[in-house]
Amino acid sequence: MEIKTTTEDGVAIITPSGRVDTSTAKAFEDGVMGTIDSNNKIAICFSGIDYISSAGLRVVLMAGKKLTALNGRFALINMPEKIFAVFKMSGFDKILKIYPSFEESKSFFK
Amino acid sequence: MATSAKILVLDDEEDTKDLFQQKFRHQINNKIYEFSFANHSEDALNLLKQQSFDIFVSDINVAGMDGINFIAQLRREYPLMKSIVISAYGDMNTLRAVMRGGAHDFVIKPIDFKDFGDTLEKTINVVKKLQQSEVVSKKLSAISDELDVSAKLQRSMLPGNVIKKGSIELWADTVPAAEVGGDFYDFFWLSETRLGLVMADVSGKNISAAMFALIGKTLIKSFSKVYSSPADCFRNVNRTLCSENVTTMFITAVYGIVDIEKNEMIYTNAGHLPIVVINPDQDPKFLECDAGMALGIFEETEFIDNVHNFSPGEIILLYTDGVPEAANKNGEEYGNERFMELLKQSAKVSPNSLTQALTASIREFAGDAPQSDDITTLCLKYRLRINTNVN
Repeated sequence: MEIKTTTEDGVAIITPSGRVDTSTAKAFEDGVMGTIDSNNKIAICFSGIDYISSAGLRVVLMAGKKLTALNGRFALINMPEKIFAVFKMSGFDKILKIYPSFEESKSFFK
Repeated sequence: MATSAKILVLDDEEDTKDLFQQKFRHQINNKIYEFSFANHSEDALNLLKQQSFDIFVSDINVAGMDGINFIAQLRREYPLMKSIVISAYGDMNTLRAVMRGGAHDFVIKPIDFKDFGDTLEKTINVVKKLQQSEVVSKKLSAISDELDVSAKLQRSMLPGNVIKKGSIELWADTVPAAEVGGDFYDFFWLSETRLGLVMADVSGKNISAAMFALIGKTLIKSFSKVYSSPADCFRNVNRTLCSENVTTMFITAVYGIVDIEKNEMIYTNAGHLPIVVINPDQDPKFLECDAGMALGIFEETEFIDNVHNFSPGEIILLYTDGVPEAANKNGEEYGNERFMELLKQSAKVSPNSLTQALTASIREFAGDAPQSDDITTLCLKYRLRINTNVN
């Protein structure tokens, strides 16, 4: 798994690519949690993700909980339909902020 | 940097001891080397019985009647100790034989102590690495034993595979991807006519997931006895899991209660894949329902009871994501289309045959690709009931 992180308007945008499953969840966790240590405005971009397992959902959830505790902001962007279905199925769409694009998440991060 | 090593030297020459102690005095004083000396092979064997050594150094002509066999014997009995032999110049045949017999290295007489020091150091490094790998291997073996016990424990917590009672025939099974898994199923009679069915998946695998699964399974079964509504049961399971959850693990689950008097199932869903209904005369379909969030995440999650009315001969299938998401070597998923097609073909078979056909189909699709997730299924057939009021 490859994880790229860029910063735009003070928001760290984390872009992983490939599959997030049991074997890659740890790398995903390290990448996301490491970024939270230096920035409390985080967006995860899902455009390059073609599969996410429950182990991956757990990482997203951990990030959300940590950022809430830090009074930060956390959003998920550019989610392919198939990945969104997984978030919807597990009910995570009800507690996480999901935006079609970074542009549309900007007002949330302000 | 030298590592501390215990060295046993076998030589019958009186001045050998003095020579070694003088040449290695620096290492001896700094407790890097600790030498013991033996004059006969019997002395050496006695010393080896009393304490362990890392290195055995011997003049090939002193090691008893048959130095070659003696070295070979030591190698068998003390596999973590390595031998260095000292041989006279030109005695190549003996040297070759003793090396083949298991000596690790050799030096030629008269001893060049610089060369001997290097040989010793190299051999000690080999021994230390060997000892470390032995420690790791023992630890791994202990962990592996633990995993075996955990896997057995986990298996023993499942209610078995089969129920055949009246109009109901049920078959359930799980194939974990790792030694122990995060999936579990359960079924239990709540009364003479009401059967509880549970299918669940914990985020993650192995021991931590298995422990969380055990907590979840126990909670669901306990609350099922208190609350007759599946939604009420899950509401309380969820609250309890949330209040004690420091791991951010969660459980997706479905819980249904089959009522064989009313020919219906009341069910609720916590972020899990929908139950499939397979009818002999129709295409299989998902029992879509308003699912609550997975268990263990958000204390105030609401769950809803849904009702399904059984038709005679109908099959319902509860499963985990290891089924539709099983992948082959190219990363392609088994997928809902193949899943539904197989179920359509299996509409008239027994739950056991259906489960077996599904597992075989997934295995065939996945080919050589390693199983990446647990595959767990619970299949219930609501057999044809003859309505006595017809005539």
